Amino acid sequence: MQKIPLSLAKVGMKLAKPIAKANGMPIVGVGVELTEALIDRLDGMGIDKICVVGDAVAASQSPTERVLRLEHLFRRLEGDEWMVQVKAHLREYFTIKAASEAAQAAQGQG
Amino acid sequence: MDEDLKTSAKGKILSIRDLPTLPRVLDEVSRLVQNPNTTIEAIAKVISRDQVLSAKVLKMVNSPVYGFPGRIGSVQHALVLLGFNVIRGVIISTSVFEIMTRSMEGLWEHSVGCALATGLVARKAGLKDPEEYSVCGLLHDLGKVVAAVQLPELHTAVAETVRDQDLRWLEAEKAVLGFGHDRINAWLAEHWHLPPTIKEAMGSHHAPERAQLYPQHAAAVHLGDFVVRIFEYGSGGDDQAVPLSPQALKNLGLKLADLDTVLDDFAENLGEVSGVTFAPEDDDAAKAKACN
Repeated sequence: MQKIPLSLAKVGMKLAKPIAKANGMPIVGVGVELTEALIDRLDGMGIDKICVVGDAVAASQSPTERVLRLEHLFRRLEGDEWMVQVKAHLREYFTIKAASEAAQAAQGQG
Repeated sequence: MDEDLKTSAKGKILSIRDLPTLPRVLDEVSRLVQNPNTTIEAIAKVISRDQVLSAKVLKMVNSPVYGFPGRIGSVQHALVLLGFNVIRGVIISTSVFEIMTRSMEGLWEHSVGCALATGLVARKAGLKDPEEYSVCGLLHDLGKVVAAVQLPELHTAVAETVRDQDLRWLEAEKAVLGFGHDRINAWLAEHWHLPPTIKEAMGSHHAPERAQLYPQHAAAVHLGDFVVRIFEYGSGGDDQAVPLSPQALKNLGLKLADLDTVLDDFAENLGEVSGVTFAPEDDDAAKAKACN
């Protein structure tokens, strides 16, 4: 999930959190796919931030990509027992995140 | 590189004559702050006279880095909420990064990302005034920018050493120049009369265990730098993880697992932070906001 300014919203992105007015009145629910008309409507309502599924804006920072990049980032720290432990922790963290995002995306499609 | 060349490189980097000049309003404001009777209104008035600068300050303080996204409408409000040290740090960073050369592309994003991560680490550790830590993160690599501007040919040699020998930027700096940006940072902080907390964070973020007066500031930036590098947001000049100091975690009373929520919050706010740029097309809108 990523919180982005409405100005970076694009058609096809899916909402990871519902959007509500300042008084709490819901406008759009979770999993709804953004359309040109919906983005315009949100803009008209003064909504300036939304939460979308995945790392739509910065795909290279996605958990799946992070798991793949860890070996490269830690390539010179292999002999350091503590850093091997740090890397293993990060691998577990990003793997769980990636699985949870995949599940969330599948739910959004279903 | 022989010793003579190392000494001359150091002299050239540290020569005041060519150092980036900071906005004149900063001198004026620094003088005002010396006087205990100066009001926040008076300081805000001086900064607001420079509209472009005010716009940049407002843009930065309204980013998620400082925890008040989109809620600060004036320089005066920013001074009340964040304090003079934070605003001064923001002004210095925007001024120095303006002169950034193309070869340092990605360093601005790396620095803003580090500011965000450092603030999150400070919040996680329950430290008072986390925005004071964020500004340390924002300034942590200024020495790289100054070195690139003062010694462009040696900067190229550092970049080549990183590539050819697969070194981290700091290691390559030490191989080529004989010293790293951490030392340049400490000197710049001294020259610009930055508070000792920021000076120690800038000078010791690669060796937080050596920080003597403000180990938590150095430790928070150390962890912030580690996090932004794991996400590869922007570039500190190389593509490697930095060795994580166990002492830094200890100084903050954190365990490795405590980083998980920092990583969560960092990922969540990254999209918004990526909008914090100096793109000219954004300046007009921000300027209009600053005038209100």
